[in-house]
Amino acid sequence: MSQEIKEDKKENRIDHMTYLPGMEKLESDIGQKVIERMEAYDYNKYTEKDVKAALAHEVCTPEDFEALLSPAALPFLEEMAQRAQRETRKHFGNSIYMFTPLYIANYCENYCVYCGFNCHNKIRRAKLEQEQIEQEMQEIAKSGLQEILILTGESRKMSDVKYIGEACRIAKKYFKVIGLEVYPMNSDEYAYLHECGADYITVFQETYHSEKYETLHRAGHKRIFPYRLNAQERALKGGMRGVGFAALLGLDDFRKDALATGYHAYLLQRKYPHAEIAFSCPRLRPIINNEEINPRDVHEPQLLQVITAYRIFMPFASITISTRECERVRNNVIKIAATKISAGVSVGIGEHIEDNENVGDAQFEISDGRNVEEVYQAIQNEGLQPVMSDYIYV
Amino acid sequence: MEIMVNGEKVSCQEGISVEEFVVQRGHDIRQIAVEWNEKIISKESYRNTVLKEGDVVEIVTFMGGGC
Amino acid sequence: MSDLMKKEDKLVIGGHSFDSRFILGSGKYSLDLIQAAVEHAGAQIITLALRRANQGGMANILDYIPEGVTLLPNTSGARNADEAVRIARLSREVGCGDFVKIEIMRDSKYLLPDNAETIKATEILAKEGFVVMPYMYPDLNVARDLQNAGAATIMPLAAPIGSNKGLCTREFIQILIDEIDLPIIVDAGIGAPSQACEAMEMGAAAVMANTAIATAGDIVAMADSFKLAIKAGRQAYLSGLGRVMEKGASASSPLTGFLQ
Repeated sequence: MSQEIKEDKKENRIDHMTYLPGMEKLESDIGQKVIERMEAYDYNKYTEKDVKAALAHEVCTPEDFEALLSPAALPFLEEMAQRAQRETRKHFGNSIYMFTPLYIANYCENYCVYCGFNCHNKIRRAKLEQEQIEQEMQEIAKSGLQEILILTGESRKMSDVKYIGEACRIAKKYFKVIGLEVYPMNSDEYAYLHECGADYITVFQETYHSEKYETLHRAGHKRIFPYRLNAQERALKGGMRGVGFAALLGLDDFRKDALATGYHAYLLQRKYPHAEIAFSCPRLRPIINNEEINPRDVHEPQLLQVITAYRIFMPFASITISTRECERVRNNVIKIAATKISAGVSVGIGEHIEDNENVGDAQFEISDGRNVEEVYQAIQNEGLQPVMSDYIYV
Repeated sequence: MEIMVNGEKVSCQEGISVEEFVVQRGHDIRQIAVEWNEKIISKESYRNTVLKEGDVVEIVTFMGGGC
Repeated sequence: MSDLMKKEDKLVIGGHSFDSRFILGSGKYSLDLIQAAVEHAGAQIITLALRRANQGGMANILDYIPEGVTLLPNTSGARNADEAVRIARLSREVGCGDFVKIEIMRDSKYLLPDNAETIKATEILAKEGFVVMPYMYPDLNVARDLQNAGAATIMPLAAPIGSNKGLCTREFIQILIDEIDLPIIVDAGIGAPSQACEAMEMGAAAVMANTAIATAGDIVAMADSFKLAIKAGRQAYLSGLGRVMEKGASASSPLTGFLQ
């Protein structure tokens, strides 16, 4: 604890709004539109009447979405869940998609105060070699899964684009769908990874509130707020089929962040109608038994409010329910709004193989440790249908 | 000399300008457009455009139309 | 009066703004009824067609249209993009502004628009500075292409021209209204004021009608009826008329019972 971190002092941090050399700058007004709408969003002005009207509309407008995210909608959570369930079944039938994440490296050059991978944390760092990646994937494929999400820490040095591309090429041998959750990059790099087999990318914006973002992401590429904000659009320009969005709910005002996340996806979908849209809904858990009630805490009802609002606003979007949530929550949320669930999750490096010595520490603690078979069975028990992948390359 | 006007052969005097020709036919210049040998010409150039043997002229105007 | 009713509500097309949301077609009338129809319709935009002027000295429709009304020449008769472009350029040369309604039909039985050719013509004419209002069969992808090509509005058909059958393409027009950031003007097939009203309630920016008025028993009174219906529909839309979906019975087992 004795070591002082330079960037903990604000004056030592770089400007988080200025692009670094080599970062591609898009001509796009989407980021600005999202921020403007979020800043103008006054969720306390919505009333019961607005929420009822929003629920009655066949098509949910951005204004309706705002009403559904407001405190006035919380008493209507059951109605929102019913509506969300109808939309989910209308667009997805009874299908629940299964996948697993594979962390291939945990080196990170960013200093994000809340993250286990941050560069000042003294954790075991590791990066899987190609043969190890292949072994891990072989092991995962045995479970029957056909979709994989490849993750790295955000280090362009230790996990360069070529390294990620190789991982995609290996994955293509064993899986039908390949997602990436890696550092934001330029559109030509996304195009390269798409060529290597990646289908979609997910970039968590964490928070859309740039002032707050600045205080949490103190150093590294990730600090550059607008570059991260435009990652999905660059990925679509690079030819990715789908893009995923998320705010880490609870970092800042979750209602505003959820609004920004949904509206961000909405605007991109309008501009790139072919894009497949996905949401993840991670939250920082409030401290249980905390005497003080913080209206910005994301308890289970608030989390469900956000998830059902996403579903009603964008009925066709994929929604993933995180392993940060427990079995009870996950089993119920797939009945209502989520369409994608991970199983057999390990968030450390190299943990799928038993005698692997090249292991790295985990990013966060998971709350649902069920393996593929258990999750598969749980989906069936709810009368739903587990799906490993729904398309074939031609 | 003879020229084609709106698909019909019409005779007219040598050296006549587009402006003189359309006015003789009774058109109000403000209400028409003229295509001369497959090229639309502006109203300002009617005066200086001289018709010659074999020219193809289209004179159009508006009529009622809708859906 | 509510605040909403006092608020200005302009229809903006290519930077020009209008108070009326009724676009009147001028076909199938006798000329001496045009002026009264325009006035009673409260229309500020009227469509016209371009034709060969075979004889001079005859009554011209331009003499019957009240001053201040925006003329919207159409390209009817065009069978492909090139012909539509030619007609549009000639129309502009008459000297009545930059508006053009693209209509391209290569089907003389149903008079359905050719969407692919319409996109081509829109692109060319938008580049030449026209305010392009393409008539189209309501298809979302085509509407997006038209928007990208520079269209100022999208004019989907409700039913075949002159059929007076009403909103046969309702669901598809609704998709355009929900997805496209341009005024959606419902064109063709609107046969009764109630149908025009319904289109406006759905969120259409304006309605275009011709045959329904031209073939009415009392043309002037029908023009007035349409005006009122369009106004009523617009106001209902702005008032927040909800599209109510079927009310599902409330589930016996609540979905949110698991929450802690």
